[in-house]
Amino acid sequence: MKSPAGSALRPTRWDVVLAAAILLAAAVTGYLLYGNTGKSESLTAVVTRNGEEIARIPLDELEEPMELSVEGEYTNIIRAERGRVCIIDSTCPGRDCVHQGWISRPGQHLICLPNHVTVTIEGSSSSGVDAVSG
Amino acid sequence: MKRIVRIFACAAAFLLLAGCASGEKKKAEAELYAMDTVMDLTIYATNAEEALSAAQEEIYRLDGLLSYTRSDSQVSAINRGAGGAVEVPVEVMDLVSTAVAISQRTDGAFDITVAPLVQAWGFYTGEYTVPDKEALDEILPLVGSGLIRLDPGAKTVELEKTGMSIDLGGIAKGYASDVLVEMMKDRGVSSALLALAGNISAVGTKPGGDPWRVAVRDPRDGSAYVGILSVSDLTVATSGGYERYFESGGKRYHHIIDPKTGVPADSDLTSVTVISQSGTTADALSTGLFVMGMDKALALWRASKDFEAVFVTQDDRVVVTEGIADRFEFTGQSGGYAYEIASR
Repeated sequence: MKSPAGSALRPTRWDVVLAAAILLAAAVTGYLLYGNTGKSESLTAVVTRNGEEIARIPLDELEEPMELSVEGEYTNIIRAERGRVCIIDSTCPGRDCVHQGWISRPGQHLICLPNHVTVTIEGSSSSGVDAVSG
Repeated sequence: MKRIVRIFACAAAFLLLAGCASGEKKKAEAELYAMDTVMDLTIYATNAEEALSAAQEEIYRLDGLLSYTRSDSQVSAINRGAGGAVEVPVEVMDLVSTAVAISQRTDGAFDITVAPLVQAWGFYTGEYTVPDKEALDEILPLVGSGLIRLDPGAKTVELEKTGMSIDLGGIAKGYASDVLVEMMKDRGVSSALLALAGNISAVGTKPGGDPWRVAVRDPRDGSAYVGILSVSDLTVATSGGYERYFESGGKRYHHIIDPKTGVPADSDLTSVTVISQSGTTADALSTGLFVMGMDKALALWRASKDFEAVFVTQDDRVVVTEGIADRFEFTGQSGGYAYEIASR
């Protein structure tokens, strides 16, 4: 025999929903309070050489064009402007990388095979500075 | 009634869960003036307040030992006793020994015995003068780490010649940051940012797990950065001649004196930022590399494994060593800088 009190305290479907909602709300609050503050969805060009990331260029924040020289077996000159990036010059044979032109959207790549260099656009970057040295 | 109780129970559970995500870390921060500079300490921990006050006490203790200007410091005792051996705490002797080693490593570009030259230029008092050649020729024989004798058995430091003096100002903040980082680790602090002037130690990560973001100042524009470093468990230290200098006869003289020539380092660099697990190394090498200039500095980097660097050059380049380039976000384009990565 079940007692009336036991019946009243037995979890109902709504209690399960409520518990799930609490867990979700707690997770969201925890994230908002302590999580990845400063993240945004801005465009970032990520440069790698030999599979290792060597530079990140925040394309959305570029006020003036910039050039980055990447040296390996050959030299790639990467040019970034607000919202887009290209390999503007290269000493590699064939210069296929230069012919790839500008890229501007997350997920796009530029590749210089002879120099083992890639440029990939990512759709997020962090901003904000915690301290300044100098 | 039961519903109300449940709602309260739920609210309590909610707050508890949100708190769990943070590990209930508290934030404690302090700004303090010590070692002739301003320091900002930020600590996130359950015991943040206790860790912060311990850190502050430690900084004052080290300042008391290592200060050049305070007459009751161990450094002042060594300087007063120049020409003879002075017994000091082991900690002080060890730091002098480290400074001598870094002097050798930088071929004398970093040298704690430079103090009489800095004095002659008036950088201690602010009464700036351009010393003439005769004055410098008299002082230069008193400069050189080869003139420091250390006796570990007797725990003594001896400056061989009277008139010599040492100043640990180029290494003490870095040493202090190493001591503080160790204190934080001992207390289980996994998130702190210790900014001893431009000497910044990132302990662990930010509370959310992201690396700390430390900007490198644009030497020409105090409000601008040449880039941002994402670091954890590293110290970032910058030296440059753009902040402390004076002008005389239309010429600018900065405070980083080349121990070999006796005049402000005629460097092709405007600033050097060194990133290292050792704050002592980062602090001293940032000065040493600045004096050495770009070519010698890069050669030393190529021969070393314990640091990375960001160089800002007179001809407007930002050169980053490849070991840290993946954690450096170049932002100097608006300041007219070109960006380069140095390979080994």
